[in-house]
Amino acid sequence: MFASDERAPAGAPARRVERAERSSWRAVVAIPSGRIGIALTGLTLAIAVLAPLLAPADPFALGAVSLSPPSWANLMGTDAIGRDLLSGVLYGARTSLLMASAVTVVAFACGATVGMAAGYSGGAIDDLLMRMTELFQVLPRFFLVVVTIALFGPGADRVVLVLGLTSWPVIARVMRGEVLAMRELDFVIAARAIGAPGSRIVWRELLPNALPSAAVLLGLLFGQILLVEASLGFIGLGDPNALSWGLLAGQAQGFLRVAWWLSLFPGLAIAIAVLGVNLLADAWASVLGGRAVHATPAGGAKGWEGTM
Amino acid sequence: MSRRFVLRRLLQVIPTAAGILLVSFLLIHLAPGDPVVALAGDHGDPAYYAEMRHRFGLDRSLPAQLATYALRVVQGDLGFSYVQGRRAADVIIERMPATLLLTGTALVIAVIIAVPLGALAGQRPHGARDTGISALALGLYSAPVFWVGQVAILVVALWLGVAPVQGMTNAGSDAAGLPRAFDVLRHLALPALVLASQEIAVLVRLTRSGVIDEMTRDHVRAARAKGIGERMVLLRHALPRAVLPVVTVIGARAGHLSAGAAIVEIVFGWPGAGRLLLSSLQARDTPVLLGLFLVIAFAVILANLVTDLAYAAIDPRVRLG
Repeated sequence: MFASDERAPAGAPARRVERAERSSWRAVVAIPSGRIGIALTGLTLAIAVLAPLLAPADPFALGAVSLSPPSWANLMGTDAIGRDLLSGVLYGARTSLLMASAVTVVAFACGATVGMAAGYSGGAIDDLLMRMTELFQVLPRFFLVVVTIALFGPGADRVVLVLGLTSWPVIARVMRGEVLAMRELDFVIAARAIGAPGSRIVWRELLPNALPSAAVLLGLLFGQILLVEASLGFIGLGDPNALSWGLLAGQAQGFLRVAWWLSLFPGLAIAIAVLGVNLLADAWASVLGGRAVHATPAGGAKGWEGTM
Repeated sequence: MSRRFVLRRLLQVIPTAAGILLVSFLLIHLAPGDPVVALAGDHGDPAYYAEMRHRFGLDRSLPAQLATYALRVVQGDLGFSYVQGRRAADVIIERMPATLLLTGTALVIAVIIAVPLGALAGQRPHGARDTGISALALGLYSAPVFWVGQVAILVVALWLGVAPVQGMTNAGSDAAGLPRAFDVLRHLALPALVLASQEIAVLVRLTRSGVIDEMTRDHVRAARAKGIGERMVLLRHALPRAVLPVVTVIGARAGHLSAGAAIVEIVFGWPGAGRLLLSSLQARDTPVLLGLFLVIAFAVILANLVTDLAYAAIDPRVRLG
């Protein structure tokens, strides 16, 4: 029965998840906080993409008036050497979002690989991988980035690498939990029965079905990385050649007494961007929580409670 | 608490601590340039470097180097701060009281504010009160801590003028004893509150979901059936069990808390480890930076250990399971 149609057990769950995802998006929109999350995240993305069109000035161009408070000419004021802050904040969105995206990709790649390998293999490999996960979880990533930059010199690549390599444990835990819960479900047993190799089962069957719940964590992680990256920029450890929100906020620190606008706006931009993804992740989590049966193939809903 | 549980948990510390040492050892050796610079600083002369090379075993094989390095660190030798002309460990230790005062105060404030707020929110989920409290928690969770600090300085210190802007004591003050304690307390309030805001965000959410969970359980229904008032049901029956996980979360967030403390110290000019981090960074004082990383990492391990043991002491399911 399986041999006659090899695609069926492999293809069906993926298609079902796709359909469930589409309806889950509608459910996110139905939640008020989900709508705000989508709006704020969309706004941040639009600003990052359209920064050159939106910015009234070159963010590095020196203006006539230094430390000008917000006015019609400079909606967010100017800094100590007359640069337009609004343009800086708009362009800063690019650096901050790019960095956070890159880190999230690295963290997901590591976390998914470790988590699924641990959950699918079980036994000694599982134990070893989870011990390793615990070690990476206690590494203080902020201080690790500081030391790395002090030893290796500044640069975006090493910041992404260190943040990515220290942020995957939460993802690994969730992926492991998902895989453990799915391991004995019908569609996985079916795939195993037709002789599908372990790698195929992991990547084609388990990964697509674990993605929805991993997405919640990826959203929250993205927000956290935005904050960590901003903190690094704030103490002057960001990419020295790129404007970022953290860098702007760090430069503002010396002008707290004389130019309130310099510290107000960059931080506000960060808060709005992070709030957006957090609201989105929260709404997505509550959608999954209430509709676990729809999102899990073969109707097996167990395992969702533990991971949320 | 069973002795076996404590022993097992204590033994788990060893591989984690060894892993941290390995990470810092690898960093020193993968970094471009001579590894001795990472341990002895940037500005030494050849004779001094030769001595440090010998002391940390850098003239021997790599495994022997690792062993020497681990032994040195375990004995509290974190290298030498050439910038300050002192042992890196001494430089770091003298900053610890200020940092511990700040983080300890922030933790206490966070628990005192967050647990009642979370309980109020969880008592009637999705009501107006819950929506307000949850929105506040999510807002604090999303705001960068340096920005909360900057805004607090702008509003509370500069605009309202009710708190000092920066520092730990009044400039030039040589007060001692009680007047000095009051001076420090006055300077401590705002940065501690700002640092607490991050933990409040997390603890409110945690307490809220704990209370929501407990309110539907049998023992709470039994209490209600006995005719106990709603307030007593919350305070006596739901909340005590709902706040148990708070203990472990405090341990799990120790790393986050110390990074937040470093940033808050920089914003408020608080003379602790965070300020040391910034000045060492600017002076390229790598032994101190590496030492700070190690000290914070070990502090995180310790915090996790203490909170795990505390949790086991109050929740029998953990120590027996």
